[in-house]
Amino acid sequence: MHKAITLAGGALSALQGAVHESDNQAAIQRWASLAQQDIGYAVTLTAPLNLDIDNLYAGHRSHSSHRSHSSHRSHSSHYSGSGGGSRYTAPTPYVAPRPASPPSTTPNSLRPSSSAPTDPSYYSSPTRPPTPVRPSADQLTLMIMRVQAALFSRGYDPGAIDGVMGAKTRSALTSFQSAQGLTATGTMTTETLNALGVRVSP
Amino acid sequence: MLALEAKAILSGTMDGFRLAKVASLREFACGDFPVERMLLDLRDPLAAAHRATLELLPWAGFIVAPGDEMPADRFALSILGEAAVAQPGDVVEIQPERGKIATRYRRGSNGNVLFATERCNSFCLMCSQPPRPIQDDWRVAQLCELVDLIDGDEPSLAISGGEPTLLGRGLEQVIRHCAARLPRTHVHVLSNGRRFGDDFPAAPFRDCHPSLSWGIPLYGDVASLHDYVVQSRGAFAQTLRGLYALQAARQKVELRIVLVKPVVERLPQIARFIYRNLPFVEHVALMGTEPVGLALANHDALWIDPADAAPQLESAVGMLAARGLNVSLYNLPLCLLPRPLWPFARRSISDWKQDYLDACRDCAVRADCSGVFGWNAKGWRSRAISPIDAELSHA
Repeated sequence: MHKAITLAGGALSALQGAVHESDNQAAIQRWASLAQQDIGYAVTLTAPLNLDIDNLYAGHRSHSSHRSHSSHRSHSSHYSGSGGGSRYTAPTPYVAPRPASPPSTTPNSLRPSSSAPTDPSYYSSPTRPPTPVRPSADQLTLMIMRVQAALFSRGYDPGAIDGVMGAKTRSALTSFQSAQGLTATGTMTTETLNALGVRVSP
Repeated sequence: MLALEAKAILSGTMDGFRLAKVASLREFACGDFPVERMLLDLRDPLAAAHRATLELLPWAGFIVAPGDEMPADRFALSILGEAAVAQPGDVVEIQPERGKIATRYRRGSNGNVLFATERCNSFCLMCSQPPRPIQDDWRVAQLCELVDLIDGDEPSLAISGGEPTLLGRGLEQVIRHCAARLPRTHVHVLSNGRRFGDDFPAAPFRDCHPSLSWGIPLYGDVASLHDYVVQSRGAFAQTLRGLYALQAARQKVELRIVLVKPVVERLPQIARFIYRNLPFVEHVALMGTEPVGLALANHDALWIDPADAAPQLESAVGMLAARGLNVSLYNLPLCLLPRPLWPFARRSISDWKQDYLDACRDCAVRADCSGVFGWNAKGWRSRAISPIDAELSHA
């Protein structure tokens, strides 16, 4: 693919040449052939860091809002720093929640009438659409810490590297986004993560 | 010369691994490598400032500045020698039994090598890395571990030894691991090619890696010369059969010719031999001798001042270049080469062992020059090293 990019670059510079010296066909030829020759030595242009990745961190606004998810509460104190010496525990793999009671494939007529559900929608669509795996609280905390580290190393002040999306971190994100000409959301949007050099990884 | 290892104070042990990536905040932020495989570099004031919260993460360990407090109950080290052996992005090997750490990958270096084995089936007169007959197949696993920690945008790696093909299928395994983990990194294997002319199939390497090449030495146009230089009877025939086997497997081959005295004396004939018998090679490298290892012991048999090799070099380079083969001169300072050969000279010496002399200080072409090997070897320095003055350099 990078060959294509190099060729495109060659073509672009050729076009640029055409604008400035519109009748200089020789220069265009030369640029094109230089681009051809350079293919073998081309510096690979990398795709944006987080390409085709479902960034589930983008919507995250603050640490406290996350606590409303009861399923994650058990992890919420990890990393917080206030716990004093609490150590990271490896994130547990996500297990998809089971349906309240598994839909039965037994034909309706064979079921005892007393237990047959009255709601006809019960039997419809036994397979649910796949829901994207939500990051665990530990993963979210680690992600925020990485974003904070990236902000510090670029001269911004997110307050601390504590994994908490507090006011200072949000405002540092906003300043960084404004300085980079990105939409200033104060959140971890994919374009912001790309600009910070932070990879979305589990 | 950059040091490749240093003494260190080690505290605690690193679980399960000997290799780890050095991380500043930037490496942590990027997330290319798991925290569990990284050493947080607390010598960096920014990381040190946030030490309390960062220490809660499951780092492989920490590097602290000499004299600073080590985190309790964790693996940590403090470098006593040259601090540059572990910079952010580098991969280091922890050697508790020696009380040392060693650089195994240096970010930004042009000389990163995956060291395949200490064994070799040749015994070259000028070997820079004298072989030892030991069982070191464990290196396969360790190299794969190393590859896991190398930057994804690393432009090139060499696989060297020893003779890498003595790893058998292990070599293929390492190269396939590179293909999976570092598909954009060019891999150059330095092998004598002899096993490919014997019982080791070249075909499996055909679709092994998107960018793979082989550097194979050739020291003669006749068996007696090549076999003498590599001190192994039958090596010339094996290497030639190996070169054809590699070509049959569509492999890119660079011929590497070290310019020791008996080779220089027949260089024009060797060039002619290459053109007539091996015209398919991608590249021919004529290389100044590295004065280290066995070369030092065989000085009298090997040493020729490159300045005295000029006629043979001009003849061989001219012959090959005129016939469309790619030719380069490695490890030869520009001041030792006739002007027409300058375009063929490359800055080939790996950065960590490249050096210039006092005489080079005012040289106008220093930036384009290979310089010399940093090994301080008596009797291996050309009498003709002298600064090129600015006017001459444009002539």
